[in-house]
Amino acid sequence: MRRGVAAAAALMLSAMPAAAHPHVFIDYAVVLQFDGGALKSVRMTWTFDEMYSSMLFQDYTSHPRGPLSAADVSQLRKGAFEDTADYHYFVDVTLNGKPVEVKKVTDFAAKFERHRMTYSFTVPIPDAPASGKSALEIAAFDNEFYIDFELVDKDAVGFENSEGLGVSCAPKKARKDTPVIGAVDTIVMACNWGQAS
Amino acid sequence: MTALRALIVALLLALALAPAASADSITGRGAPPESAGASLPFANGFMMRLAAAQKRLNDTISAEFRSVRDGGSRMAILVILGLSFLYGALHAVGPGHGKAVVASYFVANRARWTAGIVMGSMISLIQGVSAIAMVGLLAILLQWRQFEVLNRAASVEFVSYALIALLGAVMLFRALTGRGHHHDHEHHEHSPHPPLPSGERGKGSTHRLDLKLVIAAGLTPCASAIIILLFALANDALGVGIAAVAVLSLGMALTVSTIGVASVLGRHTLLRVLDAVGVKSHRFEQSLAAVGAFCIVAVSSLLMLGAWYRI
Repeated sequence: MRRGVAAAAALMLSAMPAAAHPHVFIDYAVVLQFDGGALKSVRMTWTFDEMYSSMLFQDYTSHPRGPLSAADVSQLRKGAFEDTADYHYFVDVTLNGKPVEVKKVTDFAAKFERHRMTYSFTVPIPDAPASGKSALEIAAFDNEFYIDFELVDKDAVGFENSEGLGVSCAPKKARKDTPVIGAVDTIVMACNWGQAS
Repeated sequence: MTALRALIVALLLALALAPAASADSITGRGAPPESAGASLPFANGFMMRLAAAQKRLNDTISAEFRSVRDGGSRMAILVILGLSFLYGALHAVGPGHGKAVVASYFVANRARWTAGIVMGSMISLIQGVSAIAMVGLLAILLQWRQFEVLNRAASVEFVSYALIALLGAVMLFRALTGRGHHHDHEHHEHSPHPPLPSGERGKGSTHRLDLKLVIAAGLTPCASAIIILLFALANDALGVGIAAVAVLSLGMALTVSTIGVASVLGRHTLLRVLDAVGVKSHRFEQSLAAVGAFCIVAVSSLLMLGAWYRI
């Protein structure tokens, strides 16, 4: 009996829940924005797969093709962006080992180019120190796999006002918890800058 | 024919009963759930590679749909169909798609390995039909917005899981009380059961699939199939989209059938081992029937809750 239960449990787990598996594919890139030697914010850019881009375009714009108007961008923000606040905008970020809680983002923008919808928005990083060594890890990640986030192949990271800080970034394998299938491996962008004081 | 009529009635009922969708366009769900579920160690990059492969396929299929729209070649259609098969097979490896139901069902019931293929294929193909029917009705006839169609699919999912849970509960009740028509093991001399109708008895293990369960599990349209159909529609290539979803379902059938066959063989091996060590497998089969039915109830209830918070 016990073996039966164990076998059944293993089978069940191997086929475990939810409508997880990705239905949306997003390429993302980040720009680290410094001010006075301190990291102030990160600009996040999402580029959707063509199929999802097409759905967003058809449902949230008032014209069959062409560039987005300010009204379109506002529709997209209200209808297909703002609710991601419940998921911290799918941004996972730690500064010097401590998670930064992402509650609010600013400067939402959207464009539609070469069949793809691109969103960008600014994630404020409060209380980053202006001196000393700092380390940041950032990733876009949906722990339920409805959305598959991947770093773009080229220019996945950029910098603003980073002169003299010696910023260096590289993608790094990391482990993240998911509610459905436990810990999974993913890629995060890991950055270091500043001098030991 | 009866099965077809049952399928149509079930799909219409599911559409009618499905709660109005309020899922967000981008998250594909409502607010996040409170608690975490079970855990499996997937920390080996497997999910990442699986998703990356699907993304590449999705990219290529999209581009080929555009070339079909722009007066495309037969080659583009062939590429779409070929890649859709692969996409379906890989996509169904991820959670969902009735694999848990199929696996549990064959823990509970003795059957031939071919039944694993039949059940896995039927569920996958009905899921494809369900997606085509939903897009035809909601997007084409009723002109719903695209995300409304996609979100309604999540509502139908909820109804589907509720039906599976109900059928699983009936199976569990029968297994626990020893009643029911699914006992197709050879009858022992002291068997308390009346003889089975001749159609169900057969030689050894001719097992009749529970069609109600197959239809309930097949109702759930795959979101990816709906997304492909909507994209095909936007590119004036609905026919190619329907063909692509048919092939996508065949790909999924391959994966889900594999789980079914593995479960049939797993059960068979387990009982053989028990026989070899002298355990009476008759009583054990009853336990397996209960365990399998319990798994169906447990998994579908979990999935039902998952679907509930997404709508």
